[in-house]
Amino acid sequence: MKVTSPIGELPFTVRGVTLHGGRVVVEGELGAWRSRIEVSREDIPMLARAFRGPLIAAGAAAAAVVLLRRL
Amino acid sequence: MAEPRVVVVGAGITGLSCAGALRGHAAVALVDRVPVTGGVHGWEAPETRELTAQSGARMLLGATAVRWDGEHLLVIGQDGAELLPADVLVVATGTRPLGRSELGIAGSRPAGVVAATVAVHLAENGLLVGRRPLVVGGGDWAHRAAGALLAAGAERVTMACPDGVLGGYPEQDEDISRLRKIHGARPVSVGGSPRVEYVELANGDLEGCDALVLAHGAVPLRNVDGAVWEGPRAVYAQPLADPAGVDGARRAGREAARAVRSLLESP
Repeated sequence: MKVTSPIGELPFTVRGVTLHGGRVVVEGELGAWRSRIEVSREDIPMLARAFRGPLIAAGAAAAAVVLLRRL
Repeated sequence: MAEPRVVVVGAGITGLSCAGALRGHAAVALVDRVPVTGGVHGWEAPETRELTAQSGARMLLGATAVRWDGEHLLVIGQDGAELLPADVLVVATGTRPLGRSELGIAGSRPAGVVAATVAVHLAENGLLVGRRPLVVGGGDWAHRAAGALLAAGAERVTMACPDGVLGGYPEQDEDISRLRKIHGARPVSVGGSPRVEYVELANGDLEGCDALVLAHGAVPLRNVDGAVWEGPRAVYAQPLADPAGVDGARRAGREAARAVRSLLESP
């Protein structure tokens, strides 16, 4: 994974994903820097909005594949 | 006898090559202020990956080298300050283009005069220092700056190349409607208020522009307090070739390692 930052593009390595206090915690490293991403319930609407487009596209593609196989 | 300790500041190709060449001869620590190796060459380059794997050094990445007292290097990283003992310090912190005073550019102090390093950084993040910038230089930094400015949406870029266009930069395939190169042009003064409006060249021509990007020449970047000038326990590995090449950087690293070993073997 890569993350764009003010000092350029850096590699992001995921070391583990845990549930902590009702939050999904992604622990990893941004280059050599220890990093942590916390996703809580309040973030779900924002994530749903961000992923709506790609999910619709993926669903449409899957439906098209299923239809083509049936024809 | 205890293994000698060497600290290398700068984990670019030069620093990595130096560390690799010292493997088996000294315990090496590599320090870099960004959290990846590779320096300007980039962390994804095959050479970077290969040299990083072979270096055998302790990596202190994302940490800033602050001060060298001849025996210890003070480093500030994500876990706080650390004093690294070292018998020799290697400074491999790269180079920067010449500044305005070093280029002898007279005139007022308008906004919009920036170093190429800054212009490239801003352009890569979508910020233009000017829509019609003039870039001084014909080498590596000048081409990087011109390319980044055009990619970020500059209307046109003029390159004033005091020493002409340096080797390795073919001029075909360039967007000549937006990029113009003036060979042998040396800026002598800048004018405008509050922003840059023109640059005067040595031949008397005035070039209209709204920013002046300084990208000519290369001088060593030395920002470790106590290791600015030659010292008995400091080795400088900063090749000044423009354009900078991987081979030159590797060579400089190996030469620095030889200098370190000679220092360590001397009484």
